[in-house]
Amino acid sequence: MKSTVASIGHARLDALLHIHGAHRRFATPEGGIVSALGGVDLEVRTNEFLTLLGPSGCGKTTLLRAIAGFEELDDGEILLGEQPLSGVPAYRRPFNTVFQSYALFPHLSVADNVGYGLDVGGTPRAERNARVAEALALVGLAGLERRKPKQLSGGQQQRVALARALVNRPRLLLLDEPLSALDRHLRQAMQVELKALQHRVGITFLVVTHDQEEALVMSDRIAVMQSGRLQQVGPPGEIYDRPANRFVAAFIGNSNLLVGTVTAHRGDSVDIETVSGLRMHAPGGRFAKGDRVEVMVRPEQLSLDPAAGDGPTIDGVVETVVFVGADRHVQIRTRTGDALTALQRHVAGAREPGLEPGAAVRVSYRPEGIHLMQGEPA
Amino acid sequence: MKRTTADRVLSAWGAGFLLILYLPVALIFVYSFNSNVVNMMAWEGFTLDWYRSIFGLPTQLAKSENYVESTATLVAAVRNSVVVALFATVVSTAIGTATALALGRHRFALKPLYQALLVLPMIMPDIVLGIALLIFFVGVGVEPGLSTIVAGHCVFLSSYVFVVVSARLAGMTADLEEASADLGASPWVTFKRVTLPQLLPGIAGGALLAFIISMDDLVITYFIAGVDSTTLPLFIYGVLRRGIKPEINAIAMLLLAFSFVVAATGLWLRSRRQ
Repeated sequence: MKSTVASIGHARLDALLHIHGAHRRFATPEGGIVSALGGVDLEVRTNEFLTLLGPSGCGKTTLLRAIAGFEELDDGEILLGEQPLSGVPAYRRPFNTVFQSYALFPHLSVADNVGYGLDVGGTPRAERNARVAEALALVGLAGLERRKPKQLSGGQQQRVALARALVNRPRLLLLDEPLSALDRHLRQAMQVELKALQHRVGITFLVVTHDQEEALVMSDRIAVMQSGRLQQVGPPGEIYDRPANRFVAAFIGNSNLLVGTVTAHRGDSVDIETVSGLRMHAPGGRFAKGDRVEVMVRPEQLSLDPAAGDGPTIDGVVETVVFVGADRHVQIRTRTGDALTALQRHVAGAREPGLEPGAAVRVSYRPEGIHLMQGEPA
Repeated sequence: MKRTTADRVLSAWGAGFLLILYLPVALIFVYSFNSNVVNMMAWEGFTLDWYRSIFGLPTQLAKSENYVESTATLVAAVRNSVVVALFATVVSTAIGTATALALGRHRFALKPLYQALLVLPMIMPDIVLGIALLIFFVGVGVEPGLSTIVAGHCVFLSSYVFVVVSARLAGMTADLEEASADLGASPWVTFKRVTLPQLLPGIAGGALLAFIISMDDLVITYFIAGVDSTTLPLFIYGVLRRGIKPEINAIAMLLLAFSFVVAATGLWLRSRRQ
């Protein structure tokens, strides 16, 4: 309890929502207990676009539902400013949700769906109509007021769900996998549009997604969850470049992950040797000689250009080359036996030498491109 | 599409099934217009006399001994049946719907047991239910009459409504109700604006079913009806006990037409809502 009080004391003034020690357990059909939330502390800042990112079953949706008021916490609390929300039913919370299924009312027209919150709230008819029209214009659906949800495409239904939530001007907009039902092109367009929309309406967005690319594109901050616990919270660039642990490194983007030991410490940087015997040089002043570390190198940080400069190098043999459009994923087996993936930008018409499987390559890297994380003790 | 032997066999099987199902009804339909007074299975000519006879209109064929009961008794029986069915439908629809909501949207102890006990009246033999109700009414000292028939019908009709409404409710995900709450609607407003409109086809279907079953019930009604509370099925049964008269065919056809009208009205109302 003491720590809770202390953290409230230190809370940033612009925090909208505080979550302290959130616990939620479920009984499984087999008679076991699973912990959907295992002690989550998180604050949601006013006007930010925060994404809860994690694989399915990591507890992100449970947390969203607890904030919305559909789920009670077994332990811990959620505060809106200073006000505890436990015991406050969903219909009294100043939040609105965009459901994964959209949950549009099939018996109501588009306009009546969007106007639902205003209608039950007793907003005068004229104002209600004006705000519904405004919300529909905001999401680009003006003119479809009289349609029923069934007569709309998936993308249009999603916009109705957005308009229905936004029209109430909530303190916080909760979005549960909002883009998961859309096809790839529409999804990518909507990622940018959602972000722009959030900027325009000035409402705090809390999005749940399992799509790391979506999280990177849209978010001001990302909260990565796994097994009911927060793994890391930070801006997308920080999460991508400096993941807190192996899970975050592997979940977000592509990465080469090796296990090694610090062999020498030189001021801000260290020498490391991987289990297989590969020697590398990386920044990591916080580690001491003999520490076990996880080594992460993003594929784009490895260069296959022989004229790449005078950085450290790794020798190896090309195993496979996978063409994925803009890039080629070149899989390399190092002399010591480690597998590394490097990216090579695809240039139309150019035929670079040395990229056939079996060819010997020299991979160069900048030490700053390598990120070290605390490893498991040997 | 090439028709295989299997297709032909299945088509014949389907046609045969429909024939067995509807041939008896078709025969009654034909007999109800047959002017043969002695043997209704031998066609003699077309007549509307059996229908005229039911309504007490002058006829050439129907002799007084062909039709022992007076039209007034028949009209009274129809009136009793409709009154019973209306009351029983309203009460059992309310009970069945409320029960379906309670079981479909809430968790509580012994729910499976409760569910099993609810559908039991549907599979319980009518005779057992009839005797049990009779003993109960006699035990508590209620005079048999229309009110006991209504009460008795409600016992098993509630189960039918419960099953029909539950099926509809199971097809409705809870997320619409959550969306309503999320938009600021109290539980009562959510029920009124979201749950009820969604559930209405189920409730209407359950009510129609209850109405038709109540109109049609003979066995249970037989035990709990009083002297002045003869319903239409009881009346027909009484007439049949004195031998099959041609008028019975006409009454059966009118009953069938009535059921069709009720069912068709239900379907029509449903299609208009969508």
